[in-house]
Amino acid sequence: MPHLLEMEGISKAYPGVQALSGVDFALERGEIHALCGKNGAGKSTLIRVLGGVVAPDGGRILLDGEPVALASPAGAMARGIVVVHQELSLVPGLAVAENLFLGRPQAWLVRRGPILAAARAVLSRLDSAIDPAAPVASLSIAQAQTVEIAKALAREPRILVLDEPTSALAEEDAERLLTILRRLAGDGVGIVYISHRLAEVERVADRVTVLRDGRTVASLETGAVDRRRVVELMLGEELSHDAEFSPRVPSREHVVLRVRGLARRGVVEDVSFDLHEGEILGIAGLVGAGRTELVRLIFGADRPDAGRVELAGRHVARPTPRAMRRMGVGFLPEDRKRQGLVLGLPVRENLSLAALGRISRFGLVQGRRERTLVESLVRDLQVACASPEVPAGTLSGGNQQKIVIGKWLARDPRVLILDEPTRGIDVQAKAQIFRILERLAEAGVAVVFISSELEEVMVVSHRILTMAAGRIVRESVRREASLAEILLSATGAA
Amino acid sequence: MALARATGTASAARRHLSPVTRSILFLSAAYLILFAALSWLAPNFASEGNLLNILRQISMIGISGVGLTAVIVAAEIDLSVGSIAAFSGVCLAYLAVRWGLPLPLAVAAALAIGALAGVVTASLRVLFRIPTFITSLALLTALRSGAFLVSGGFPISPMPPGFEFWGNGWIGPLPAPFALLLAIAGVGWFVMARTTLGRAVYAVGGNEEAARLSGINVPLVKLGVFAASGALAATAGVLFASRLNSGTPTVAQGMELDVIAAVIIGGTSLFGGAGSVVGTLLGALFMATLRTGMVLIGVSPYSQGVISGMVIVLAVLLGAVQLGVRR
Repeated sequence: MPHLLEMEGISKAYPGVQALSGVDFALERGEIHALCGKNGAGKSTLIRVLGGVVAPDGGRILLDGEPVALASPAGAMARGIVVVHQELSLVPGLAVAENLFLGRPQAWLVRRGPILAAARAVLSRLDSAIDPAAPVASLSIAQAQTVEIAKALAREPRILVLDEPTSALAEEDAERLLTILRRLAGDGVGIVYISHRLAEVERVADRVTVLRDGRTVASLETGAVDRRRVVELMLGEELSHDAEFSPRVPSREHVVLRVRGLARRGVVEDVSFDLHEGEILGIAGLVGAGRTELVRLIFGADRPDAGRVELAGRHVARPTPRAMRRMGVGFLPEDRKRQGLVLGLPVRENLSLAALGRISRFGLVQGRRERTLVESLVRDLQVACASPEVPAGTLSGGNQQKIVIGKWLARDPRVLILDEPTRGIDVQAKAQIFRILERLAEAGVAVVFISSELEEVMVVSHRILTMAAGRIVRESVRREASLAEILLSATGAA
Repeated sequence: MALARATGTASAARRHLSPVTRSILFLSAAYLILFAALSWLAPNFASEGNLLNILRQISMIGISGVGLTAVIVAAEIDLSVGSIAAFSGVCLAYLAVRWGLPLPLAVAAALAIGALAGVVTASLRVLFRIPTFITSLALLTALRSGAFLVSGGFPISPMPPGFEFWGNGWIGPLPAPFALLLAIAGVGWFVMARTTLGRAVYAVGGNEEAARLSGINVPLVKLGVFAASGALAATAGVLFASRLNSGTPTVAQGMELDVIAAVIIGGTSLFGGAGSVVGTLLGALFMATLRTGMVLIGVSPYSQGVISGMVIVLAVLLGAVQLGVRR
């Protein structure tokens, strides 16, 4: 029996980049096949070829042993290939049901009843209790992600491609998604699964194909390899050390940031904690636990209903981003593209954006001071960019994230709050960001670190606060807490 | 491949010109071609008198355009500039002629009125999130009507002696309003390109939330650009009053469209975050030259609007192609 899908010798060049050179990839019915590789390894291009978004320069694609040309996304979909992209593609103002069947041939008169019923049927396959009549804007990120997958399912795919489906999800929701994927595979759907979370890949995938520099380096049964080997294959070099990370334990003498009774109705309830000089404080919790909301209150991005914030012993009467910036606080928001960067402006202007006062005199930007500052940041943070003059939007995710961090380093902050700094970035960039945090902490900067990947929080933090339902439910010191215990607290079971 | 990518983008960076720079170069080239074509087609086009007349024509649009460039770079819009010009011009005449206020004071008052109109639009945006399209559309209607109310429907004249210099006089070889435009555009360019305020305008237009979370005072930036745009529209109104030697409620009808066209043809993005004052000047020059040229070679007045309209679409289309409309 022929393979469900076979891609042979796929090549694709963009100006200046050979994105794919002779990639082979095969997928069987009922198989979950993980695709791994660093950012820029060619995963996205391969998926674009499969989804009919870009035409390959060379190679061929066979479905059930028959060569096919996938000339457009619609053409790929007509053959049962459905791609769920990392970014959500839902219309916020429309109802869930309307989103599910968006762009599908329908009678010209929209009748709500049948659509709602059909939507309910699709959602029930995902064990989801989402109301099909609810507008998408009212959903949480995890629910929206579920709707996105339901939208793909509604097209009855034979091949389902998921690009980082769990990057926005907390452990529990991710776990539920993986169960659903196993069941779909059981129904005979072939699933291509892209993820940076190797633990998930290990659990859910039957096979792993590793891409590096636009080539297939290995295609292995999941049972036959360990995570370390996959990382080695992705990086193309033996890992000298495990990303072993041992920041010096801080003295905990000087409290830099003191939070007391901070609350915002419905999202954050009565949160108090201290943050010390040179300390990395991890905040763990599921999506919706209130982590992002908490740090946004501290930085003044949203207004609290109650509570007080003190910086170095001084009460901040009304925190606003401007006031907090002046007092030495930096903030890396959850969504680097929407909140962190001005994508159309050059790297240089993004790096100096929060420190304009430092590179100017009487409101005039001093070109030389700015260049010196930007050059030293680009060097220190190992930002890979051709020149500081290219738009920030042209860089890879990891390098974009370094720029958001660099923007605040330009001000020598006392406190740096990082909300999901490692989301969707590759292993190497992640390790570099951890090194930066380590260096900052050693220099006395107090760091708040949020990540949906519990292992990361455990590795990086001196101390971990676990949140659930808007409250801090557990405080644990590094090495004393186990992953299982924290996860239990986060799910409210302990 | 990391290497391939690095070298790839390095060569791209050497060739890298910002879209705004590219549209300015493109527009300059297009202007030269237009200029050459018109010189050949219309014998009296290249005469000194005609060219200076074109410069005088673009002065008011250009001056208002400097302010509107900042507004559009900040990802907002001000539709009321034509009505602000008319209203402040009428107020100027009213204060100077009816009240006998000294000219400098009357001019200052007119500029303050223009700035205030901008502040109203920006305040409603900042405080109540009312789109500036709506508020400035309302002001477009209201201020035009206000100009009729203040003047009673008739031009207020004559203006005090000496005032006609600003609209009709000469500074060296240049028409006075054009010299004023050059000075204002110079300041505008400097503020946008070299100051922290200018940086903030681009950042707010490019990504308002990122700018806010970087500690930029977003409300102040918006108030600033609208106040500037209003004051500059009022400056255009003062020049109209000087040129006509009266405060006339019907001046600058539809000027906002010419100003917006100049800004957009000049490569400023309607989505904000990118644009330049230099482009706007070129855009204004291009449109005025085209219009004068069409008159000189005898294109029927009915066709002129069609051609102007097509040129605007063509310019924006080329801009879109440059930016790469890949989907």
